[in-house]
Amino acid sequence: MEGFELFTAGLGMILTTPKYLLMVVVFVALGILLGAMPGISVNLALILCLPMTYSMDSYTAMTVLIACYVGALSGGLISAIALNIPGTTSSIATCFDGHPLARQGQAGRAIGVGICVSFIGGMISYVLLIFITPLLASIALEFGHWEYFAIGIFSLTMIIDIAGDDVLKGVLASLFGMILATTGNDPTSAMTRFNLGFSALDGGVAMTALMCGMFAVPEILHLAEDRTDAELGRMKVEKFRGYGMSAKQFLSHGVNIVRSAVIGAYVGLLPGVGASSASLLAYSTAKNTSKEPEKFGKGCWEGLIASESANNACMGGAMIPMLALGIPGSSAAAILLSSLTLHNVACGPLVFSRSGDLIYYIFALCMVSICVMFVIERLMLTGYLRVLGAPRRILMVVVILMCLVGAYSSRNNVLDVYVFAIGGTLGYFLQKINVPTAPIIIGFILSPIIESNFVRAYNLSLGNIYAIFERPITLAFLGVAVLAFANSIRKTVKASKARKAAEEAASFEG
Amino acid sequence: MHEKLKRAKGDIALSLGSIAVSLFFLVESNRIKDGKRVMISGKVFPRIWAVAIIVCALVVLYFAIRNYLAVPKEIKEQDKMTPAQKKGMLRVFEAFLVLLGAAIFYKRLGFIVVGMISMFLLFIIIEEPEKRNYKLFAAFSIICPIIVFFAFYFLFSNLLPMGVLKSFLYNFL
Repeated sequence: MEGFELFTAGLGMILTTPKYLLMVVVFVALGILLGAMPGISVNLALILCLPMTYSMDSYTAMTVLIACYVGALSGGLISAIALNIPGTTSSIATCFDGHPLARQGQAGRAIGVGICVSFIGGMISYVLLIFITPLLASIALEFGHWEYFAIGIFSLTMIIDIAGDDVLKGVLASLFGMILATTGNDPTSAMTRFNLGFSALDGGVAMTALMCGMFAVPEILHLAEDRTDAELGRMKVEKFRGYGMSAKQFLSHGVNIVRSAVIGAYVGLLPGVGASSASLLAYSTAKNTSKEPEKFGKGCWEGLIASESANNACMGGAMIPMLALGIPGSSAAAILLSSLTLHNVACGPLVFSRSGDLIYYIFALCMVSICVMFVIERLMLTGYLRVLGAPRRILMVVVILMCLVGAYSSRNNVLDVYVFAIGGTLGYFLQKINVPTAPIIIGFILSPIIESNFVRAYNLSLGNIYAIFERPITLAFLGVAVLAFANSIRKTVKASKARKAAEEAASFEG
Repeated sequence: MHEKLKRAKGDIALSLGSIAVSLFFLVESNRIKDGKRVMISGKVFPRIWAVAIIVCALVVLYFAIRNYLAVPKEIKEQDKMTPAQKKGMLRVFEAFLVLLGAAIFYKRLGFIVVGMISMFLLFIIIEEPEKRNYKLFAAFSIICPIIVFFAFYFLFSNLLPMGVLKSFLYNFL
């Protein structure tokens, strides 16, 4: 119970110290604002806030960073839903159903529901974090590199869900993203690959720049191509109350919310997998278990709920390897870890005995921040909807400006602005020939997870590939992935036959 | 444009483009040096992805050619871009040039100047000539980059490229 006492002490400290409470409110709001801006990723939001914390004590510094982290992670859903441009990589799956809902005039409701499930998902993961950390950590220890590799492959099945009728093109697009991700230093041997003689490419292609380009540039190019587009006007936003759904409606999605939160928290535990994979996995699971899987991708509440619940739950899980093992599970966790190190907190197995008060303060801070996010983001939503009500032409040009900043600022590298411009134009032409661009980003995210874990696992097995058959969890993940691919091929063939029959019938009637 | 023909042409372009990209990666992978004491070289995965792309692209190409041949000849002959479509594509090209120009001059001219010019040009490209409100465009193009530049500097200690305005901007920083 010592941990729980420390947690309540931390909670008391935040709630009774106006300075901390005020900082939580200010930095959650700032995080939401930054996360909602296309091009400003969670990592960039944290990097921007990091210099402020240098002169602060460890408690104040953590207050700034955690509050900003929680806000930014949640804020990403706003631009994902309203503009179809994910504010953060973890919001990619939110675009699939969130934006179609916005196009149906339900942007406000969709964001409201997103905020609410982000809150519930986050809270579930923090409760898990506080009470069953040892259990979760022991299960996580069962996961080795083979299992991470299998999770990467399994997450790829997500492409089937978003590729629509043409799975082959989706696979092709994801492979394109995967090969693009091999640019830069090899993750295991650090040998340079495909840098074309530019040392700026040694670090690879920047995720933020590519994502902004693929999602934002096609929008502006579509506007340029067709000035008379009917959708160019102001976005229609319906009036709604509360968080867009009644308590009863939320309860009807209870299983999906809890399941996605558990997936998110668990994937967060696994170093290097990340919130984007968590939301993709949760989305895929929601679709596979849904009674109406055909509605996914067309504005389905289940898809939106799964994605948002999982990506916020991921944060709680990601704290465990960071604090207990000193392994940063994501880039954002690495920034938090560096800040803790700067303040003489050595993360690792002894952190709970040496700095237990600060660690449980962080847990309490996460909970308070997500509660503040729940209130503030809803209050800010009214303002956001007003901004979204501005003419789409003006909005998109401002978004492009923000993306120009985001692409450059993520690494202060002008090459990323080229990636933004060229990658985005390529994305536009791919969309023109009915190739979905989201699989490119998914492939780009999953490629390093698959490659680095396979190589490490292979090395650790001393070159014995058959070691994979001794890992039941790996086999289970790979088996489900193969079944999902086989099922998709069957569906594609069936759909193609039906389309052909319909065409023949039409020509016969004609 | 006829839907089936458009799809077939798009798929042919996609598959040929994909094959070209993967061939580039396959050839370039020969330059990757092998790390010491590494069982799997850094070449392996790019090559796997490249071969997989070629296989998928060939399947797409096969079906695309089949679909293309199935389209009647008269439809192919009639299939031309309308003047409006040509103008649309020209504007896409202009917008691309604006973005590319922004990348080229990002450091030399600085974020503020590049932001102002590219925003203004994009406004002009995407708005119909008779509906253009130049004053509004100019106001947005001037104010937004300045706000963003100073917000990044004062709030986040992140200095965006100053370019030609360097000496002028130092008075405010």
